[in-house]
Amino acid sequence: MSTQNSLVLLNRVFSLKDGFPFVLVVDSLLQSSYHLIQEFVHNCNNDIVYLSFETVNKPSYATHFIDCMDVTAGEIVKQVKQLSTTKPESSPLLTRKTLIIVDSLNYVGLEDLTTFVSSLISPTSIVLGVFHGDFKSSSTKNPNFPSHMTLLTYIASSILDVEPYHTSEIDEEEIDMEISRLKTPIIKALHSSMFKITLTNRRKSGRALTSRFIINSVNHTYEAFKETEAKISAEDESLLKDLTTFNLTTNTKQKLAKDQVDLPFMQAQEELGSYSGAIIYEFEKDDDYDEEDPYEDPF
Amino acid sequence: MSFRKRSEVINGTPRTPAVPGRAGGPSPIPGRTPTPGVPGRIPSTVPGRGPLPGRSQKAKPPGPQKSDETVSPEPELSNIGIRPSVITSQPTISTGTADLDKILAHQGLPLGASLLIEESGTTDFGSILLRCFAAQGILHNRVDEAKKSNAHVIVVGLSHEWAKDLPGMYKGSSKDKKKALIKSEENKINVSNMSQSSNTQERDLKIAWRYGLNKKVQDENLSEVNENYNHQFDITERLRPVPSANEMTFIQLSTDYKKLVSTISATIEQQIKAYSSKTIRLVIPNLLIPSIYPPSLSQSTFMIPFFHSLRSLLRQYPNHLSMAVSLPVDLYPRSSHLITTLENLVDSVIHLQPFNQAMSQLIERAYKNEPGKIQHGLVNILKLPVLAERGLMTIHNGEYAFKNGRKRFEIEEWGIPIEDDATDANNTPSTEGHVPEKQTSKNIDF
Amino acid sequence: MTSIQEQDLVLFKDNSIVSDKLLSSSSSHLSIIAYTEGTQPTWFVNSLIENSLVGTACLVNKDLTKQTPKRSQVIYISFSNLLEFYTKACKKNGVDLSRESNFHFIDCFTDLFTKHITNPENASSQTSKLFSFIIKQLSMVPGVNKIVFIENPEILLTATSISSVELSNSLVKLNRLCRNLFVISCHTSPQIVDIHSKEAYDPNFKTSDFLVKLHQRAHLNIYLEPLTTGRAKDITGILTVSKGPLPFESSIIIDEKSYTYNVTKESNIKLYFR
Repeated sequence: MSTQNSLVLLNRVFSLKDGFPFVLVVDSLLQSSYHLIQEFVHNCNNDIVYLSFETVNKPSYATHFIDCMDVTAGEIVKQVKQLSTTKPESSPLLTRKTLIIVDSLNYVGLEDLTTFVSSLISPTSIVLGVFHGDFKSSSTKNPNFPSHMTLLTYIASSILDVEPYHTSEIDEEEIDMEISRLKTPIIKALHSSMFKITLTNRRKSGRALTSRFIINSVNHTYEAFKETEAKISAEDESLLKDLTTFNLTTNTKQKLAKDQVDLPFMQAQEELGSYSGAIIYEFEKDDDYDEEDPYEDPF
Repeated sequence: MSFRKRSEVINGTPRTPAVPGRAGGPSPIPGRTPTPGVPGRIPSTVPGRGPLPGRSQKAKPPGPQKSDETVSPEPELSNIGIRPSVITSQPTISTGTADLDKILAHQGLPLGASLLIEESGTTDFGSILLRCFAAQGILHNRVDEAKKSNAHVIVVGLSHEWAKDLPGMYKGSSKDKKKALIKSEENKINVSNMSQSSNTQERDLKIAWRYGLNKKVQDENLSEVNENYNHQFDITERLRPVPSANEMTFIQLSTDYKKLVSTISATIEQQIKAYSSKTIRLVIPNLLIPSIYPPSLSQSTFMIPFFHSLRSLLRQYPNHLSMAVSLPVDLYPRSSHLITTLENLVDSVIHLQPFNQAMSQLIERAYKNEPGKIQHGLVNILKLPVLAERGLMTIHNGEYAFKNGRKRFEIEEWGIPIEDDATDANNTPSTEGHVPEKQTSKNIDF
Repeated sequence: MTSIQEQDLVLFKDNSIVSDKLLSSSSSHLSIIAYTEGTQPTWFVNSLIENSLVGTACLVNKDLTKQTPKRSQVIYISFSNLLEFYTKACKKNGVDLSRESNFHFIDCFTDLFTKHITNPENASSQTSKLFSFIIKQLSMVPGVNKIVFIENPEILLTATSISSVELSNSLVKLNRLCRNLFVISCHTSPQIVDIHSKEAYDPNFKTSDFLVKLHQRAHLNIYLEPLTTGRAKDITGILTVSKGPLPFESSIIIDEKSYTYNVTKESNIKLYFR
């Protein structure tokens, strides 16, 4: 699929045109779906029903706000259905579909999940469900039953995976480590208004197409994400070849190891050591301390 | 639970709904506010411990208590087992092990605080510490010239048999015994001195000490002023006579934590009623050990409410109650959710980590000629009372080592012993984390 | 030791701790104060209380000198300490909580498991009763500028049968009644936070699930941890201020920063940039 085509497809998903009854947004503690939802809202002139499981403040764009805490899935569906039956009189635009935003599908019990989603979908409504992909929950009753994530990605017509868009090199492993302790590292790209999405689109046949985009939700521009090749290192090692009989080149592994060696003076300049040039002496058990000597440093 | 304006005095039972803006009437409840000086209370005869003339009569004014850290409640000073903490001045009791008192930073365990002793392996050094803790309380009853019942020990989960195994006071070598005799003679003289005149000399001494003067000789002064605060125990001796029911209460386990808590709470009430500045030592040896605790008690729906309620009790009796618990962490590892939550609920945690065989052998070799120096394991400090709560980082891993001798349980700075034999040193076994990360010892600056 | 410069603590770009804009906002926000074993946040929370009540933060910020009495209503819900503890601790900040009419304390500590929740095995109804009581008390506090602190609510997940969703819902309800909710919670990992935990009835799973859910809707994260290199004599730990998944209103910008800090025995605090 060409870049142009995929952008057209993305725009169609955003504008909720044809054939995407259930759009799943998967976000994480690194990049929330907040800005992506704003993008949907920006492109949408329809009525918006907001099903809140965890939202504290009613969003300004929501036509209806339904508080779903402590309510069974069945009752929520009933409430939504009631809204749509009263709709034709209030809304003159029958052709417009209602957008139902579910702030987090994590709160819906695994056993109710598929029925909940499918009963929300109707010819007059589109479901936009957010799922936080950080924490895997499991079924208690049926250990073989698929997990939330597996189920949702299976039944969704399009899936939008949100990720932070890093402009500079980052150590993903370290970020993952910190996030797993629920510590949010200070990185500009996290939860920013510019982010990366992976769109998986299912055709009627079930065949899936995947494409990646960078979304800027401030000026609403989208562009296709190009996988950049790993940069070629500045030092051209080929210059060193065949100069001598010695091996002057380094392979990638050696280079990596070399880069990681902290030079001694670098370490000394870091935080603690940078307090003046004080020599910190700690008295140890086997040190000889002379009480008579007035000039000896008494630790 | 109560919800009230800060200007109101906290009351144990919120009978009236606390409407914000309502002016609260002062109604101090026992155990929260310091008990006012009891008129006609027998003045202590220990030098330097007696209430000062003109001060003991000064009852605290009613109303919201504005306790200042530097002023410890008055009545406790008459109890020979209590001394202000060297850091926070709050009333503190000795754990019965001088070195443990020292590493707890307060020179003891502050009243209202709890201590959890975790122990790896199947040894039971923790019990020695707990026995000393209990015995110290009992001794405070025995050595007081005023014959007051200064302390009470509550033991949870064990039977009276435990009381028979409490260590006796260390009598010392014959030389020490002689010294002790002289000292007691001196005391007697002081007692008679005191009954004759209001001894200004001792008052000065006490004030100086309270305000942190005489820093250099502080240690000496402390032991002089309050020689009965801490005793040395000999684990080969037994405390005789065996503590009576007046001194020790044994509370049987129950599968209902509420019943346990209410029994403990009733015992405390009863004991305090008898003597208002009595200290209560709550001892829970070998928590969760399967031979005493049925499996169902290991559920967090039992353990956590139980410990939360105990914490609540400790806070309700900040001038009376303290608690020491020992826990085998090989059965209930520190890496588990339950134990971490327990650690969060107690005020101080130390971890005893006996050396493994290889390490013991190394030390034995190194101290071939000085068997007295052989340590038995590491003491890791994980949490210190009051300081950890204030946000200080109080984790000291592998900085201290303990050795358990006949005369005392010693805790000292740890450093890897140096071996003369170079080849041996090269083979230093580095095994299963028993070798500490930090091998240089640090100064203790208390 | 003199060459490194001491810093003032700020949470927002307008050089504030609890921003005026936050107090005048019409929405509700969530901030999480996470700590681990060894770095209890008492000093930090006290400064937040002081700042919310009177506008200063004398121990951590020397620029915030302007006293603004009755700046907001502070409601403190504690599951782990008595009021006395906070009153005593805030003395150092020059605030006498016993005289502050804008300070309200809800004691969920005394009698929590002896009177309020007596059946931990089946605690759903008693817990919801407890929270509706808290919510009732909260809505009785006059005004809209409410800053609520809740300390260690996750103990309920370990100690009782309630589910993480139940507790999470209760906190959302609380959150709606105030400008900002500070949740103070222990994040020791993996004992308390283990995102790989699988056993649904395991308290560890419930707590992790609850805390993850909390983080997913947070605006501001604060994390206190010891140095990764181990103990140091003059450094207690690292304080990280970072943003949460949800943004504040566009005018409120978090000053994302990492500090090293030192707390002394006398509760004096020094902060440095990392």
